[in-house]
Amino acid sequence: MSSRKIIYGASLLIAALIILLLPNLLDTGNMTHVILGMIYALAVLGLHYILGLTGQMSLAQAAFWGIGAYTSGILTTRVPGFSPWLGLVAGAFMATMFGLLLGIPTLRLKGHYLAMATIGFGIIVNLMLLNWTEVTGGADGVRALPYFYILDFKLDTLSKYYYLVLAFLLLLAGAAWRLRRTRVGRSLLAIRENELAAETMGINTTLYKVLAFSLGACYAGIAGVLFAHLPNVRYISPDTFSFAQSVTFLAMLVLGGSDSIFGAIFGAIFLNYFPEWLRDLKTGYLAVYGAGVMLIMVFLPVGVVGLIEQLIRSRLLKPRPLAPKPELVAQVGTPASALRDNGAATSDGTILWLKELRKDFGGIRAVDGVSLQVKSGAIHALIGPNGSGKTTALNVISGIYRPSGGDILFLNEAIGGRAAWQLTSLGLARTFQNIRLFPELTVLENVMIGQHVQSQLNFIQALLPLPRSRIVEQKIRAEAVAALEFVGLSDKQHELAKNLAYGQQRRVEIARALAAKPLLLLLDEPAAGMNSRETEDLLELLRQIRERGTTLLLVEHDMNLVMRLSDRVTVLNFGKEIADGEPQQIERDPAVIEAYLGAEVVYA
Amino acid sequence: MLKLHAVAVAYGQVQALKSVSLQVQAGQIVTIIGANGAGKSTTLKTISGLLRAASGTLEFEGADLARVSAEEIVRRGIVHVPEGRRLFPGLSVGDNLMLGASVRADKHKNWRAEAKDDMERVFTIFPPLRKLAHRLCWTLSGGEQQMCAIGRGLMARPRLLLLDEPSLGLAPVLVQEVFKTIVAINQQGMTILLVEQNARQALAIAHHAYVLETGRTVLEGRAQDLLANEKVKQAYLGSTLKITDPTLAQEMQIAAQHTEHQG
Amino acid sequence: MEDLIQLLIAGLAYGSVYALIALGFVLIYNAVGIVNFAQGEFVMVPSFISIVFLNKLGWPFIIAYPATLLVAAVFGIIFQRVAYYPLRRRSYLPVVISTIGASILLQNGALVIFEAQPYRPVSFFQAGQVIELGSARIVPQYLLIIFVTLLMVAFQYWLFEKTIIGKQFQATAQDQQTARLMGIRVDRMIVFTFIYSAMLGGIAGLLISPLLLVYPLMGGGIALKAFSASIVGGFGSVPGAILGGLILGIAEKIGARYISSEYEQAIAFIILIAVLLFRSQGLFGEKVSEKA
Repeated sequence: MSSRKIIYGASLLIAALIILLLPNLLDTGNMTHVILGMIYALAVLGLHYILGLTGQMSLAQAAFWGIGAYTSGILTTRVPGFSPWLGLVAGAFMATMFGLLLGIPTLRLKGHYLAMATIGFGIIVNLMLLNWTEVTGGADGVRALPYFYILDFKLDTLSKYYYLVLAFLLLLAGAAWRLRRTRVGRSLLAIRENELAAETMGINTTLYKVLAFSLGACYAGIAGVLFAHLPNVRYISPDTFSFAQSVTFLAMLVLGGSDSIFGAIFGAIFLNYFPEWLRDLKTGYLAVYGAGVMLIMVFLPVGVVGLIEQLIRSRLLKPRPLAPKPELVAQVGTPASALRDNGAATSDGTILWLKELRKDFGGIRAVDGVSLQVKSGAIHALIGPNGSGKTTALNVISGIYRPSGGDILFLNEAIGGRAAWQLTSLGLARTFQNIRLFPELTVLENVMIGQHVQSQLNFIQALLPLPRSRIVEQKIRAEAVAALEFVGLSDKQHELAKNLAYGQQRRVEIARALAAKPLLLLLDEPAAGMNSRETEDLLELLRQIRERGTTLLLVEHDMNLVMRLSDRVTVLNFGKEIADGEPQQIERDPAVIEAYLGAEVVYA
Repeated sequence: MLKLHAVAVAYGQVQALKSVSLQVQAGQIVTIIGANGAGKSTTLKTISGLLRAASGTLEFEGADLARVSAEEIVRRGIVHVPEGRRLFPGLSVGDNLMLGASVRADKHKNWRAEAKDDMERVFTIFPPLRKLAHRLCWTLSGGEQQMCAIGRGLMARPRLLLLDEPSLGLAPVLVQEVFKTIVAINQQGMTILLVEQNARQALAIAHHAYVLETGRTVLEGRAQDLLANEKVKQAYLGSTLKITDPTLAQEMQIAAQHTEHQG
Repeated sequence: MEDLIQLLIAGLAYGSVYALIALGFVLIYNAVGIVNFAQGEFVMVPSFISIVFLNKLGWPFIIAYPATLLVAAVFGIIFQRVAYYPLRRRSYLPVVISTIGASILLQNGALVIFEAQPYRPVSFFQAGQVIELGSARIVPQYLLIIFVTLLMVAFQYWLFEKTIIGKQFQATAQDQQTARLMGIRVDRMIVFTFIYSAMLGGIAGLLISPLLLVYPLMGGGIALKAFSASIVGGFGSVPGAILGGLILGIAEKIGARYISSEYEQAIAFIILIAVLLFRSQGLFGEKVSEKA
């Protein structure tokens, strides 16, 4: 055992001892603050799912907190025999339901609109608590809530209650820590990093956003119940669950670092304690606090704990790249057998068939009746001048835009109008002209997200330490490592995607798409911005991908690449197809030369 | 007039320009050609001050441009007509043109009268704009938008005009018009730095040309020389077709004319 | 009938104030793409300044009001410099949180200096004074609010549509980079935007403070409603902000009278959520689709 490990273990042990013996070390006043801080931490952990992982703004966390507190408060005081434990279940359930109720309709809103909808929701909840007197007790609130019991053991002192709250905090923080490292957590992160790319990787972004939202609400509900039954208070009133409290939760999260679980806990406990240190300033402390929030935004964009974690990650815990398994590397890009059987269903070998495809933007017809057939196993290029509708066509095929007319048949199945995430599981993957990686995630995580449609792990399985979830995760990881090896980047696994050079980022994007094991890979200008050396490598890579059975449809400007690589070329101009054929034919087609290639035609 | 020496520019981690050197003589049309992503637009953005050079020198009429803001560079006499026109969609053609004269609005008392004169001059270069003066810009066709964008650039009375892909997305007939106009403006004494994907056309009207490849100027020379250069032909001009079979030649000629009419 | 007229005028007056503040929101949003969560403090700070000038120093209106607006303008500059400028290259979230921080700082700063109890500013009209209009009894401050708001809307129309400065404002809002290529000094335009937004807040504050009184937390609620108004009208749209404000103001007063006075404060938000759900581009907004 190295001395570093001994120091590490010893400090963990001391920390654990302090946490366990804390009630013996602190007086009642400080104990109240610690417990309150821990309860806040639960609500802030909930917000961590919504904002930290998924990148969605919510200012309704205090309302969910209040819904939890009031549900338990009302039921345990009015219904005979309704214990706080049942109250806890009911409170968490009600908060979750309200989370769904608010989440499902509003999550298609973005940024400010979502923030505003959540503020509105919070204010309405608060006004109901205040004015629906028959049920909520109005401004008087609910008094004399019962104590928690464990069997016959009454949790009537702060010291006893501390362990109950600690247990919940450890449990729920542990669940959050697990979730972050599974398929579910990565899907949430993908939405935060780049929603469109997440969608094209097969992630049902709406579903996952609603999931994050209701999970966040559930945590807040549990925190609310624990708050309501705090043994030395056992009283709740509407003013506690105000918009200002939602803002405080937000500040707590941001202070610690919105992407960090320890940060969420630290921020909650610290900001709850902060006023105590500024007691001399009396009312002024909140002003200082406001200024502090601004200073943190300017100087510590990742938060206090976030910063520390970054330092630790970069200095101390440099993980070693995983070794790729050769048998998996050999399978990269080869579509799963089930899908290939499906592919054989098209008798003439057509994998993608566009019929009279149209796309209008307002009055502008970007794609104007394009028909083409992509043969299975081919490399098909789509070329044409800028603005001729190539990228738009690609966006319609991959489900980002709805077609305005015409049909898209993928393996004989009409897919026009389907959402991008649905197409990925059918065997369609793509890359973007302006690379869309998940910049703040590691290269490995990026490619693991590509595995989304190739793996199954629901959110319950992700939260629990089941053997199945471990196996699934290991497989995802191994496949991702193999895909990175295939594109020649396995030594970059733990770098953040944003820190890679341009050409490498393109390769990561291709690896990510390959991880979905697509039958058809759509590439939007893969050679853009590459020098001739990089283009040569790309050419080789694309050939290898085709050899492994994946069909390629690419939009490209580099004629040299197109002519050497493609089996078939379709030329667009003004949204219309002007030529379609083998590269040699296309090169000599006068209409193409006129519109695009720009060569002189000398008539002898 | 304009001199760039070993200019390098980075967007975050990405090295967009590695070493670009070029010169523009007063009165000339100089063109930069190259593949998508080679750094043509980036070069123009660096000259007009939208991007900062990480290293290298930029000089305009003997003065250093490296630390000058975009707003100030316009006042020094360089106007950049950006790729994709970038008109203000919610404003009328007249307003867009007037905004082109912004640089003089805060200096001269009688700028409005001057701007009106300038607008007349723009209308003589682009007659269709006169009728469109009150239309909102997003309702214009691509060709009309391009006229408005170049007109707006002229309103600032530049001595050097930077044009980024003026033929982008225009029908072949309109492309011809745009190039004719560029020549006409040049003949009235305007110096022009032109970035074009349509390399053949650009070389045909330019005096001098540079070839950009992955952020470096790799070739320069008189435009006519580059037009004849085998490497340039191969990479950017496509091949020349010699069709010897007389019947096929005739058929293709007809086909070519036909497509031109359609465009 | 008299009842309805009284309610309509009260609703129009409150709606006008929401509209003025909403305009401030929208201008800043259009210029820099962020929602300023401290917009309420753009109302509260000048209101307290007016208390100092009118009540404490006893200045006449003719001096105190312009002086208040001048201070509001300076406040706008400082706010821009401190809460927005250092974060201008970051995504919207840090800026939004920074404005929330600024809001907490200003509210509690005011609490330290002025303490919590409300101040009644010296105003043109006595408290409780009414004008008899037929059998309807109208609070004169309402009429003043509506009149001044009309003036401001007219002024803004002139500024934006008839002057080159206004066009430069619009150009900056539509496309900052291209605006710079026209030689428009974008940074200066953004400062102007904050100044103008703060002055709109100041005017709203001077108008509403005789009715709501002046206290440190006065801005929060009213700004949230103004923000709702701008979304109801169609976010980013100037006419939308004005109409949205008026709709919410009238709905609030009529709803409080005929439905439930306890939930008067909730009406604006219920309308907001309904609009967000059924027509998220707002009543007068145009749908914009995101490009890949």
